[in-house]
Amino acid sequence: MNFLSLSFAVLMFILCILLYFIRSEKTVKYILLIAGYIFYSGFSLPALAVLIILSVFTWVSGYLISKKKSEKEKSRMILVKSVVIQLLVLLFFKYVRGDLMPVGLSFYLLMAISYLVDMYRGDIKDDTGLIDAMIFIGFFPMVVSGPVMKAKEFLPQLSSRRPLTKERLSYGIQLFALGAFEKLVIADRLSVAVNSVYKAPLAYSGGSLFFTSLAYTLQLFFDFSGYSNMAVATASILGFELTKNFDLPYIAKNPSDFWRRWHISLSSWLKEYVYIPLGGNRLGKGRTYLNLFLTMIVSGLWHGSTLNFFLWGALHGVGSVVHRFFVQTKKEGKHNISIPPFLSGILNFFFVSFLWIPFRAENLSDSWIIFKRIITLKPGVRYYYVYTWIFLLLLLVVEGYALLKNNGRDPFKPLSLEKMSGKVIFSIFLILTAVFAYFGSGAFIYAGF
Amino acid sequence: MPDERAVYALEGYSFAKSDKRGYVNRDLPLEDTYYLVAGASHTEGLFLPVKDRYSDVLNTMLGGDDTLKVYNIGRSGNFFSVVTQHFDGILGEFPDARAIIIETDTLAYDTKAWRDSMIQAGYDGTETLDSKIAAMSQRERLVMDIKKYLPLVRVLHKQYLTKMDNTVEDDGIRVTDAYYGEFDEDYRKALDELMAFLRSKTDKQLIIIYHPAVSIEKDGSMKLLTNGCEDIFAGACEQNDIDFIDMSPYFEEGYENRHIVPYGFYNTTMGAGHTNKEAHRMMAEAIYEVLEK
Repeated sequence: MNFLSLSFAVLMFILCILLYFIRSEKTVKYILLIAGYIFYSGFSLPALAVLIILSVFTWVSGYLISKKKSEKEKSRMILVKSVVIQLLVLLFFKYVRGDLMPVGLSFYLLMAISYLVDMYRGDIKDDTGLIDAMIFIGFFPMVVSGPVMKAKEFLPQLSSRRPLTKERLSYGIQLFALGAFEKLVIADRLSVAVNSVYKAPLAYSGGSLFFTSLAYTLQLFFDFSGYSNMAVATASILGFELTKNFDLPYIAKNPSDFWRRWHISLSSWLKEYVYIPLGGNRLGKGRTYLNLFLTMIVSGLWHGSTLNFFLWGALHGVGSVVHRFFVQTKKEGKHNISIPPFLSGILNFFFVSFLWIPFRAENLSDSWIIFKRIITLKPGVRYYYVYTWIFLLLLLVVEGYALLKNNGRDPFKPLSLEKMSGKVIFSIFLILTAVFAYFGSGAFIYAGF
Repeated sequence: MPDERAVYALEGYSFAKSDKRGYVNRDLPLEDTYYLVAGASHTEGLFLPVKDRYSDVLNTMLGGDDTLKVYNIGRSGNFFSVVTQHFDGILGEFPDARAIIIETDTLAYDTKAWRDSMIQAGYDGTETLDSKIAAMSQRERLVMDIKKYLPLVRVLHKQYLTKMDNTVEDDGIRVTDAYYGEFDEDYRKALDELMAFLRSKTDKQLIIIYHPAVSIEKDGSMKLLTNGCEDIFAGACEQNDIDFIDMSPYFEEGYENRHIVPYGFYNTTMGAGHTNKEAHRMMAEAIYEVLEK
C-alpha cells in the first residue's frame, strides 16, 4: 500500500470517519495502531513482524531504562546495549541481507533510538505505555520514509490529538495534492531521463551528463518532498503535527543553511543524537570540525552501504567543515572575504548537485566516469531532456517568489476552499496533476534507504 | 480520418493534418507519377514535424519543393505484414506510383508469418470509417464525440487507462511476438515465396527499408537489436529484383562518428520509441542513393 493507491484512500476515509465520531482516547490509539499495521502489512508480513518485534523490544528497553533511572550507570548501560542491538539489526539488513530489508527500517529505527535516548534523558514519561510506543514507531504516515520524529515531539501529541476540522481537512488535502503533484508530475517524469542516462553514462556527452545531474537534483528533491508533504498532510488530517522535512533547500546559501532546509527531520535527529553526544562544538575548534565530519559520514552510511554513500557523506563533511572554518576565521578577524549571497547560493547549489552524482550512480566507478566526462566535456550522445528545463524554471520561479515575498521560506499557503475562487483554482490544479502525471514509475526513492 | 488535425506530444512534438485520403501529407499537388512510401508509425512520422519525415526529406532531395514527388501512406499499426496483405489494394489505389517503398522496423517474423503475409485482405466494406461509425451504438458514438470535442476528457481517460494498466496505450509500436529462432530451409523458402509474390504483382521498383531497434549499452556502445536474418532477407530480395536497404550500417556510422541515436526524443529517452529526425534524414539519404542508382 502506498499513499497514491486506492486502498490507501479507502483506509484514510474509514479512519477519518472513525476518528471523527470516536472520542475515547484509548480506542483511538488502538484504531491508529491497527490502521498502521494494516498499512504496513501491505508491504510484507515478515516485515510487519520485524516492526512489531523491534517496537516491543524498544518499549521493554525503555521500561528498563526508566526503572533504573536512579542508578545512572546501569540505566546508561541498558541504553547503550539496546541501541547497539538496534544498530546491529540495521547493519544486518543494510549490509548483510539487503534483499530482506524491511521497508522503512532505517527510518523507524532512528525513531526507536530517539525513544530510548529521550527516555534516558527523561524527556518522555517513564510510564509511556506499550501501545503508545508501538504507535510512535509504526505510525503509518511516517513509517516508510519519515519524517524522522523524535519521541519527545510525537508522544505528547497522542494524548492531545487535535480534532478533525474543516480547516485541518482542507489544509491536509491541499498539501497532499501538492505532494502528489511533486511526485507524479515532476519527480517521476524526470526519472525517465535520469534512469536512462545513469544506466549507461559512457554513452553520453559531458554536457548531457551535467544536465542529467541537474535533473536528478530536481528529481530527488521533488520525490522526497512530495512524499514528505503527503506524510505531513496525512498526519495532519489525523490530528498530528509532523516535522516539516524541506524548506526550499536549493535556495540555501551555504552547506549549513542547506542542512537546515534539506531532510530537516534527519538533520535535526543527527544533530541531537550524534553531533551533540560526540561533543558538538563544546570541545574546541578541531574537535568541532571532526564532529561535523563524522556526523556527515554517519549520514552517508545511514543512506547506504556502498562506498558511494560514504564518499557522498565525506564530501559533504568536508564542505561543512570548510564552510565552518571560513565563518569561524572571519569571526576571528583572520580574513575579510565575503561572498555575495546570490553567488554563494549558486556555488552551493552546484556543490550539492555534483555530490548527488555518487548518491545516484550505481557504483564508485560510474561516479568517477560521470565526473570525468563532465569535467573534460567529453563528446557523446547529446541529450537535454526538456522537462529538466521546464522544472528548473518552475523551481526558479518558486524560489524567486519565496525570496521576494517570503524571506526565502517555503511560500506554500493553503487556499480557502470555502470560497468559489479557491475551489476553482484547486480543481484546475487537480486536473493539471491528472493530465501531466507520469505513471511509468512509482517507487519513492527514499523508501529504498 | 480525412481532413483531421492532430497534436502529438508523447514523443517529440508535432502537428499533423490528414489529406482527403486520410493520410498525413503536406498540402501540395501530387505529381503525375510519384514514389509511394508505406509502413507503420515510423513512416507516418508520428511525433515528428511533417517536413522532417523521411518521405518529405526525400521529396525535397528529389526537388519537390512545390509538389509531392513522394506520397506517404504510412499509418500506425500498418506493419510490414499488413502492408503486404494489402498490396493489391495499394497497387489498385495508386496505379501511378513509380516505385513502392515499404518501411519495417523488424524482420523478426517466423515462417508461418511470412506465408500469411501473402494472404490478401481484399476490400472489406465493413472496415470503412462510415461503416464503422454506422455500426456503433448510441453510447459508443457519444463517447467518440465527447473525446473528439473535449480533448481534455480524452487525455484524462488515457491517463486513467495508463494508470490502470501501467502501460502506455498502443502508440503504433510493434507488439507482436518477435521470432528469434533458427532459420531453416523452409524459412528461406517462405521468404523467397513472399518476395516472388510481391514481385509478381507489379513491374514497379520495389524497395524495402529496414531499420532495426537499438539499445544503448552500459559500455557506451549502441547495440543493434536484430534477429540475424538480414542476410537471408537481403538474398530473397535480391533474387526477386527488390531493393533492400538495411539501415544498420548507417545507424552504426551515425553513432560511432556523430553520436547520433536514431530513436528517442528530447522529451523521452534515447534509443527507445520512434525514429527521430536524424534517423529520418539517414533513411531519406539511403533511399535517395538507391533511387539514384
